[in-house]
Amino acid sequence: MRPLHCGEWQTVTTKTADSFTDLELAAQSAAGDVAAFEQLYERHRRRVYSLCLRMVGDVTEAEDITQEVFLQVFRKIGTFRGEAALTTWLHRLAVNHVLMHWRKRGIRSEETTEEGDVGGIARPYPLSILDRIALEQAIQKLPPGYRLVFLLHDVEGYEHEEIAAMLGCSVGTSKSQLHKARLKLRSLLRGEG
Amino acid sequence: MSCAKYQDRLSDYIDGALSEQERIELERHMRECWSCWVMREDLLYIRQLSRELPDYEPSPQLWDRIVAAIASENASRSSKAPLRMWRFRMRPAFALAAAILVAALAGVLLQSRSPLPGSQNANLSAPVQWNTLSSSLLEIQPTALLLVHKPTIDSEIVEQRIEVLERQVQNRRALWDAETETCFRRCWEAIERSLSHCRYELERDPENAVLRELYLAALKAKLELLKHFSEL
Repeated sequence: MRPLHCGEWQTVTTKTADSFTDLELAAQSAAGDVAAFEQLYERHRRRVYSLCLRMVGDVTEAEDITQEVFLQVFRKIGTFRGEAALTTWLHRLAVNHVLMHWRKRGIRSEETTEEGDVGGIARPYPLSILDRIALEQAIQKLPPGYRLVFLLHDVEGYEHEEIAAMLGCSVGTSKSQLHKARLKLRSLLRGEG
Repeated sequence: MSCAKYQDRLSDYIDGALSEQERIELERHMRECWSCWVMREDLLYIRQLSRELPDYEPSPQLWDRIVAAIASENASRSSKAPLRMWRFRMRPAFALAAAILVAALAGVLLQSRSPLPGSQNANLSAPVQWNTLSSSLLEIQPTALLLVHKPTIDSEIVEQRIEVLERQVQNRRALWDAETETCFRRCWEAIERSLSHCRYELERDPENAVLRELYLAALKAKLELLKHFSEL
């Protein structure tokens, strides 16, 4: 990638930040423009961090993983060609880092976690008073593997094919994990977990 | 078919992944089966709620940590590092270090643009050694700079002198080539950012002696920069 010359610097800085696409910002970042990289960070930090936080359930660890994700992006930003959305790349990196994190801690993705009633459900009727907090708590109680697929599909909106590619599993496995995750959440929210 | 079999298909049903025939069959069953219908409603609601979950905000310090990590990596391979323009937005935690760094910026810059301005033989078209400059900045030890940049003059005097030099620079600016203009603007903006952060911090903590020293160091950097460019 061609580095920016001094004379071009003004062009980069005087355009409004929003007017650049992720690909343009990536190119500028690859040329050493940390301001451009900061703009990418500003755009994507919340989604990456939220995904990490929901996956690991700890603010400090989520920030550490988010930091690693963006560092890796900075190192490899020159290889980004825009074939896929930058968000997908970021999420894939986040997933990889979370899996590594779990591996280091000896957590297996199929491992079950502490269970219990997280409240927030009017039974036996449909989930009429379920609130976000109860759902967030229930998500944290999902086994890691279920949680990962659930977050990528139902929260982040990825298709099973994309999730399968990210996790290196089959589409069938992704579907099955999602269904189990939803049933588990329902059960947790009904206090049947 | 048993309820369990129907319920196995519920996720595919709410995601619209069932065939038409399977969907009709399942809906027919749910019209007669309260428990399967309730499960469908629950799963739909969980999915809907999941899509509305808010994003969380990482701490403001996270970006500073990322920048510090990048700087650290670059410093370790600074001899091979390409141009790095450290124009990141400085937050309070970085304001101090930034003020120190810009205090050295002008000095490094002046060294890189020899012969000295004002000389008839000065080669103004010679490119500034940005690689050298960025590498040098990355290698600066803040603690060492603190010792070097002890304030010896009052900030008000410096500010008055800056005002005079600013006017001189404005008069000469039209004569600069693009390289000189860019070079000046980069340094100017970096110093201004540091000054602005120092002022902000000083408003909150006016008695902080270290902040005052850093503010003065940044002012002196600005003065040096203006001195240098007022002669070009």
